[in-house]
Amino acid sequence: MSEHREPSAEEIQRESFDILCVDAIDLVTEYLDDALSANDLARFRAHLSGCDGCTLYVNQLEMTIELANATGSRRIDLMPRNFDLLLAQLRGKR
Amino acid sequence: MASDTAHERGRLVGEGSFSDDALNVVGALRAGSEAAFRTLVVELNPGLTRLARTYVTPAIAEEVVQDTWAAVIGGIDRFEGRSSLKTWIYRILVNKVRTLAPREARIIPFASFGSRGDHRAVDPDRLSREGAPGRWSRPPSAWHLPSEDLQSKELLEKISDAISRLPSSQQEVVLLRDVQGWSSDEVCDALAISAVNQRVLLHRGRCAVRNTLEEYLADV
Repeated sequence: MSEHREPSAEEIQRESFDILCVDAIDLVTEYLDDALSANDLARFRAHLSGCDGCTLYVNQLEMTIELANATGSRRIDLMPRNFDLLLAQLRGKR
Repeated sequence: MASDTAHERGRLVGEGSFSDDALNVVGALRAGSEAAFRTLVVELNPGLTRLARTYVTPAIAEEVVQDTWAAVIGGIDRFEGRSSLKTWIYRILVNKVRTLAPREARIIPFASFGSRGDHRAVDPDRLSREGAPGRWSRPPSAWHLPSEDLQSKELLEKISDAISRLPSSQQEVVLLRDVQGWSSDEVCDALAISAVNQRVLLHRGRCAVRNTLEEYLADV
Protein backbone atom coordinates (compact mmCIF):
# COMPACT_ATOMS: atom_id res chain seq x y z
CA MET A 1 0.00 0.00 0.00
CA SER A 2 1.41 3.37 -1.02
CA GLU A 3 0.70 6.55 0.95
CA HIS A 4 -2.54 8.38 0.26
CA ARG A 5 -2.40 11.04 -2.42
CA GLU A 6 -4.65 12.43 -5.14
CA PRO A 7 -4.64 10.27 -8.31
CA SER A 8 -3.01 11.89 -11.34
CA ALA A 9 -5.05 12.72 -14.46
CA GLU A 10 -3.42 9.78 -16.19
CA GLU A 11 -4.43 7.45 -13.40
CA ILE A 12 -8.01 8.72 -13.51
CA GLN A 13 -8.10 8.12 -17.24
CA ARG A 14 -6.73 4.62 -16.79
CA GLU A 15 -9.24 3.93 -14.03
CA SER A 16 -12.14 4.77 -16.32
CA PHE A 17 -10.69 2.55 -19.04
CA ASP A 18 -10.00 -0.40 -16.77
CA ILE A 19 -12.62 -3.04 -16.22
CA LEU A 20 -12.89 -5.37 -13.26
CA CYS A 21 -12.87 -9.16 -13.25
CA VAL A 22 -16.59 -9.14 -12.57
CA ASP A 23 -17.13 -7.10 -15.76
CA ALA A 24 -14.76 -9.25 -17.79
CA ILE A 25 -16.65 -12.38 -16.75
CA ASP A 26 -19.89 -10.77 -17.94
CA LEU A 27 -18.36 -9.99 -21.32
CA VAL A 28 -16.78 -13.38 -22.08
CA THR A 29 -19.60 -14.71 -24.22
CA GLU A 30 -19.77 -11.52 -26.27
CA TYR A 31 -16.00 -11.66 -26.62
CA LEU A 32 -16.09 -15.26 -27.89
CA ASP A 33 -18.86 -14.28 -30.33
CA ASP A 34 -16.84 -11.35 -31.68
CA ALA A 35 -19.72 -9.16 -30.60
CA LEU A 36 -17.87 -6.59 -28.46
CA SER A 37 -17.60 -3.00 -29.64
CA ALA A 38 -14.06 -1.89 -30.52
CA ASN A 39 -13.87 0.05 -27.28
CA ASP A 40 -15.06 -2.83 -25.10
CA LEU A 41 -12.79 -5.24 -26.93
CA ALA A 42 -9.78 -3.05 -26.17
CA ARG A 43 -10.77 -2.84 -22.50
CA PHE A 44 -11.42 -6.57 -22.32
CA ARG A 45 -8.05 -7.41 -23.88
CA ALA A 46 -6.24 -4.94 -21.66
CA HIS A 47 -7.84 -6.58 -18.64
CA LEU A 48 -6.91 -10.10 -19.77
CA SER A 49 -3.31 -9.11 -20.38
CA GLY A 50 -2.96 -8.21 -16.71
CA CYS A 51 -5.24 -10.83 -15.16
CA ASP A 52 -4.25 -14.50 -14.96
CA GLY A 53 -7.56 -15.45 -13.30
CA CYS A 54 -9.68 -14.09 -16.13
CA THR A 55 -7.33 -15.46 -18.78
CA LEU A 56 -7.74 -18.89 -17.23
CA TYR A 57 -11.49 -18.37 -16.98
CA VAL A 58 -11.75 -17.62 -20.71
CA ASN A 59 -9.60 -20.66 -21.54
CA GLN A 60 -11.77 -22.88 -19.39
CA LEU A 61 -14.95 -21.62 -21.03
CA GLU A 62 -13.43 -22.36 -24.42
CA MET A 63 -12.59 -25.85 -23.19
CA THR A 64 -16.15 -26.23 -21.92
CA ILE A 65 -17.48 -25.33 -25.37
CA GLU A 66 -15.08 -27.78 -26.99
CA LEU A 67 -16.22 -30.55 -24.67
CA ALA A 68 -19.89 -29.69 -25.22
CA ASN A 69 -19.23 -29.94 -28.93
CA ALA A 70 -17.57 -33.33 -28.46
CA THR A 71 -20.74 -34.64 -26.79
CA GLY A 72 -22.63 -33.75 -29.99
CA SER A 73 -20.71 -36.28 -32.02
CA ARG A 74 -22.39 -39.03 -30.04
CA ARG A 75 -25.39 -39.38 -32.30
CA ILE A 76 -28.64 -40.43 -30.76
CA ASP A 77 -31.87 -41.75 -32.21
CA LEU A 78 -30.72 -41.71 -35.76
CA MET A 79 -34.18 -42.24 -37.20
CA PRO A 80 -37.69 -41.28 -36.10
CA ARG A 81 -39.80 -43.85 -34.27
CA ASN A 82 -41.86 -44.73 -37.34
CA PHE A 83 -39.94 -43.76 -40.44
CA ASP A 84 -42.02 -46.07 -42.65
CA LEU A 85 -45.15 -44.16 -41.75
CA LEU A 86 -43.44 -40.91 -42.75
CA LEU A 87 -42.38 -42.43 -46.06
CA ALA A 88 -45.98 -43.45 -46.67
CA GLN A 89 -47.08 -39.88 -45.93
CA LEU A 90 -44.44 -38.63 -48.33
CA ARG A 91 -45.61 -40.99 -51.06
CA GLY A 92 -49.07 -39.52 -50.59
CA LYS A 93 -47.69 -36.24 -51.93
CA ARG A 94 -46.81 -37.65 -55.32
CA MET B 1 -31.70 -34.85 -58.08
CA ALA B 2 -30.78 -38.50 -58.08
CA SER B 3 -27.18 -37.66 -58.98
CA ASP B 4 -26.67 -35.62 -55.80
CA THR B 5 -24.98 -37.56 -53.07
CA ALA B 6 -26.78 -37.86 -49.79
CA HIS B 7 -23.82 -36.33 -48.02
CA GLU B 8 -23.78 -33.20 -50.14
CA ARG B 9 -27.44 -32.58 -49.70
CA GLY B 10 -27.28 -33.12 -45.96
CA ARG B 11 -24.48 -30.65 -45.59
CA LEU B 12 -26.23 -28.02 -47.66
CA VAL B 13 -29.29 -28.16 -45.48
CA GLY B 14 -27.17 -27.04 -42.56
CA GLU B 15 -26.13 -23.77 -44.16
CA GLY B 16 -27.54 -20.59 -42.72
CA SER B 17 -28.41 -18.82 -45.94
CA PHE B 18 -30.94 -20.18 -48.28
CA SER B 19 -28.98 -21.43 -51.26
CA ASP B 20 -30.09 -22.77 -54.63
CA ASP B 21 -29.03 -26.22 -53.48
CA ALA B 22 -31.34 -26.01 -50.50
CA LEU B 23 -34.09 -24.98 -52.91
CA ASN B 24 -33.39 -28.20 -54.76
CA VAL B 25 -33.92 -30.12 -51.54
CA VAL B 26 -37.21 -28.32 -51.01
CA GLY B 27 -38.21 -29.05 -54.59
CA ALA B 28 -37.35 -32.71 -54.16
CA LEU B 29 -39.38 -32.90 -50.96
CA ARG B 30 -42.34 -31.28 -52.66
CA ALA B 31 -42.05 -33.88 -55.38
CA GLY B 32 -42.07 -36.58 -52.71
CA SER B 33 -38.43 -37.69 -53.10
CA GLU B 34 -37.63 -40.40 -50.58
CA ALA B 35 -33.90 -39.91 -51.00
CA ALA B 36 -34.12 -36.20 -50.21
CA PHE B 37 -36.34 -36.86 -47.21
CA ARG B 38 -34.11 -39.61 -45.85
CA THR B 39 -31.06 -37.39 -46.13
CA LEU B 40 -32.79 -34.60 -44.30
CA VAL B 41 -33.97 -36.93 -41.55
CA VAL B 42 -30.55 -38.50 -41.05
CA GLU B 43 -29.04 -35.02 -40.82
CA LEU B 44 -31.52 -33.40 -38.47
CA ASN B 45 -33.25 -36.12 -36.46
CA PRO B 46 -30.60 -36.51 -33.71
CA GLY B 47 -30.50 -32.78 -33.03
CA LEU B 48 -34.28 -32.46 -33.06
CA THR B 49 -34.56 -35.34 -30.62
CA ARG B 50 -31.96 -33.83 -28.35
CA LEU B 51 -33.72 -30.47 -28.33
CA ALA B 52 -37.13 -32.01 -27.68
CA ARG B 53 -35.68 -33.80 -24.67
CA THR B 54 -34.88 -30.48 -23.04
CA TYR B 55 -38.63 -30.01 -22.58
CA VAL B 56 -40.19 -33.44 -22.25
CA THR B 57 -39.39 -37.06 -21.45
CA PRO B 58 -37.51 -39.08 -24.08
CA ALA B 59 -40.66 -41.03 -25.00
CA ILE B 60 -42.70 -37.88 -25.58
CA ALA B 61 -39.74 -36.31 -27.37
CA GLU B 62 -39.78 -39.19 -29.86
CA GLU B 63 -43.48 -38.60 -30.48
CA VAL B 64 -43.00 -34.87 -30.99
CA VAL B 65 -40.15 -35.47 -33.42
CA GLN B 66 -42.30 -37.93 -35.36
CA ASP B 67 -45.10 -35.32 -35.48
CA THR B 68 -42.61 -32.68 -36.57
CA TRP B 69 -41.53 -34.71 -39.57
CA ALA B 70 -45.17 -35.33 -40.49
CA ALA B 71 -45.71 -31.56 -40.30
CA VAL B 72 -42.67 -30.99 -42.51
CA ILE B 73 -44.12 -33.32 -45.15
CA GLY B 74 -47.51 -31.69 -44.84
CA GLY B 75 -46.20 -28.13 -44.80
CA ILE B 76 -43.28 -28.13 -47.23
CA ASP B 77 -45.50 -26.73 -49.99
CA ARG B 78 -46.08 -23.66 -47.81
CA PHE B 79 -42.40 -23.20 -46.91
CA GLU B 80 -41.44 -19.75 -48.19
CA GLY B 81 -37.70 -19.85 -47.70
CA ARG B 82 -37.60 -16.81 -45.44
CA SER B 83 -35.53 -18.84 -43.00
CA SER B 84 -33.28 -21.78 -43.75
CA LEU B 85 -34.98 -25.15 -44.11
CA LYS B 86 -33.16 -26.31 -40.99
CA THR B 87 -34.35 -23.50 -38.73
CA TRP B 88 -37.87 -23.75 -40.20
CA ILE B 89 -38.02 -27.41 -39.18
CA TYR B 90 -36.62 -26.67 -35.73
CA ARG B 91 -39.22 -23.97 -35.28
CA ILE B 92 -41.99 -26.46 -36.02
CA LEU B 93 -40.56 -28.72 -33.32
CA VAL B 94 -40.12 -25.91 -30.81
CA ASN B 95 -43.70 -24.72 -31.31
CA LYS B 96 -45.03 -28.21 -30.76
CA VAL B 97 -42.92 -29.03 -27.76
CA ARG B 98 -43.45 -25.70 -26.01
CA THR B 99 -47.20 -26.22 -25.98
CA LEU B 100 -46.64 -29.56 -24.26
CA ALA B 101 -44.42 -28.14 -21.56
CA PRO B 102 -45.55 -24.86 -19.98
CA ARG B 103 -42.65 -22.56 -19.37
CA GLU B 104 -42.84 -22.64 -15.57
CA ALA B 105 -42.84 -26.41 -15.46
CA ARG B 106 -39.78 -26.59 -17.65
CA ILE B 107 -37.56 -24.69 -15.25
CA ILE B 108 -35.59 -27.14 -13.19
CA PRO B 109 -35.61 -26.05 -9.55
CA PHE B 110 -32.32 -24.45 -8.68
CA ALA B 111 -31.93 -26.75 -5.71
CA SER B 112 -31.17 -29.55 -8.15
CA PHE B 113 -28.80 -27.41 -10.11
CA GLY B 114 -25.16 -27.74 -9.13
CA SER B 115 -24.33 -27.45 -5.48
CA ARG B 116 -25.24 -23.81 -4.99
CA GLY B 117 -28.24 -23.15 -7.12
CA ASP B 118 -27.15 -19.80 -8.41
CA HIS B 119 -27.29 -18.92 -12.05
CA ARG B 120 -24.74 -16.16 -11.75
CA ALA B 121 -21.71 -16.86 -13.90
CA VAL B 122 -19.42 -17.37 -10.93
CA ASP B 123 -20.04 -17.81 -7.26
CA PRO B 124 -20.03 -14.25 -5.86
CA ASP B 125 -17.96 -15.49 -2.92
CA ARG B 126 -15.08 -15.93 -5.29
CA LEU B 127 -14.93 -12.23 -6.02
CA SER B 128 -13.71 -9.70 -3.44
CA ARG B 129 -16.11 -7.37 -1.77
CA GLU B 130 -13.46 -5.45 0.12
CA GLY B 131 -9.89 -4.53 -0.68
CA ALA B 132 -10.16 -4.94 -4.45
CA PRO B 133 -13.91 -5.23 -5.04
CA GLY B 134 -14.99 -6.92 -8.24
CA ARG B 135 -11.70 -8.80 -8.61
CA TRP B 136 -11.08 -12.48 -8.04
CA SER B 137 -10.44 -13.38 -4.43
CA ARG B 138 -10.37 -17.07 -5.34
CA PRO B 139 -9.47 -17.19 -9.04
CA PRO B 140 -9.97 -20.40 -11.02
CA SER B 141 -7.15 -22.88 -10.78
CA ALA B 142 -5.71 -24.61 -13.81
CA TRP B 143 -7.30 -27.83 -15.02
CA HIS B 144 -4.87 -30.60 -15.55
CA LEU B 145 -6.46 -32.55 -18.34
CA PRO B 146 -4.25 -34.81 -20.42
CA SER B 147 -5.38 -34.47 -24.03
CA GLU B 148 -6.58 -38.09 -24.11
CA ASP B 149 -8.92 -37.26 -21.21
CA LEU B 150 -10.68 -34.64 -23.31
CA GLN B 151 -12.48 -37.41 -25.13
CA SER B 152 -13.00 -39.65 -22.11
CA LYS B 153 -16.48 -41.10 -21.87
CA GLU B 154 -16.78 -40.14 -18.24
CA LEU B 155 -15.94 -36.52 -18.86
CA LEU B 156 -18.32 -36.24 -21.81
CA GLU B 157 -21.07 -37.79 -19.74
CA LYS B 158 -20.39 -35.25 -17.02
CA ILE B 159 -20.80 -32.45 -19.55
CA SER B 160 -24.00 -33.92 -21.01
CA ASP B 161 -25.35 -34.29 -17.51
CA ALA B 162 -24.47 -30.70 -16.62
CA ILE B 163 -26.20 -29.43 -19.76
CA SER B 164 -29.29 -31.52 -19.05
CA ARG B 165 -29.58 -29.90 -15.62
CA LEU B 166 -29.76 -26.38 -17.00
CA PRO B 167 -33.13 -24.65 -17.11
CA SER B 168 -34.72 -25.43 -20.51
CA SER B 169 -34.33 -21.90 -21.81
CA GLN B 170 -30.55 -22.08 -21.29
CA GLN B 171 -30.32 -25.71 -22.25
CA GLU B 172 -31.83 -25.26 -25.71
CA VAL B 173 -29.42 -22.43 -26.51
CA VAL B 174 -26.35 -24.32 -25.23
CA LEU B 175 -27.43 -27.40 -27.18
CA LEU B 176 -27.79 -25.58 -30.45
CA ARG B 177 -24.82 -23.25 -30.10
CA ASP B 178 -22.23 -25.43 -28.38
CA VAL B 179 -23.27 -29.04 -28.85
CA GLN B 180 -24.51 -28.61 -32.42
CA GLY B 181 -22.32 -25.66 -33.36
CA TRP B 182 -24.99 -23.37 -34.81
CA SER B 183 -24.50 -19.64 -35.34
CA SER B 184 -26.30 -17.18 -33.07
CA ASP B 185 -28.49 -16.03 -36.00
CA GLU B 186 -29.67 -19.57 -36.62
CA VAL B 187 -30.47 -20.10 -32.95
CA CYS B 188 -32.42 -16.84 -32.71
CA ASP B 189 -34.35 -17.84 -35.81
CA ALA B 190 -35.16 -21.40 -34.69
CA LEU B 191 -36.10 -20.44 -31.14
CA ALA B 192 -37.72 -17.10 -31.95
CA ILE B 193 -35.64 -15.18 -29.40
CA SER B 194 -33.71 -11.90 -29.63
CA ALA B 195 -29.95 -11.77 -30.07
CA VAL B 196 -29.54 -10.23 -26.63
CA ASN B 197 -31.70 -12.87 -24.99
CA GLN B 198 -29.81 -15.58 -26.81
CA ARG B 199 -26.50 -14.31 -25.54
CA VAL B 200 -27.63 -13.97 -21.94
CA LEU B 201 -29.02 -17.52 -21.92
CA LEU B 202 -25.89 -18.88 -23.58
CA HIS B 203 -23.66 -17.06 -21.12
CA ARG B 204 -25.49 -18.33 -18.05
CA GLY B 205 -25.69 -21.85 -19.43
CA ARG B 206 -22.05 -22.07 -20.45
CA CYS B 207 -20.79 -20.61 -17.21
CA ALA B 208 -22.90 -23.05 -15.21
CA VAL B 209 -21.51 -25.97 -17.19
CA ARG B 210 -17.99 -24.68 -16.59
CA ASN B 211 -18.72 -24.49 -12.87
CA THR B 212 -19.85 -28.10 -12.82
CA LEU B 213 -16.75 -29.12 -14.68
CA GLU B 214 -14.60 -27.20 -12.24
CA GLU B 215 -16.15 -29.00 -9.27
CA TYR B 216 -15.74 -32.34 -11.00
CA LEU B 217 -12.11 -31.74 -11.90
CA ALA B 218 -11.35 -30.54 -8.39
CA ASP B 219 -12.61 -33.89 -7.07
CA VAL B 220 -10.48 -36.00 -9.40
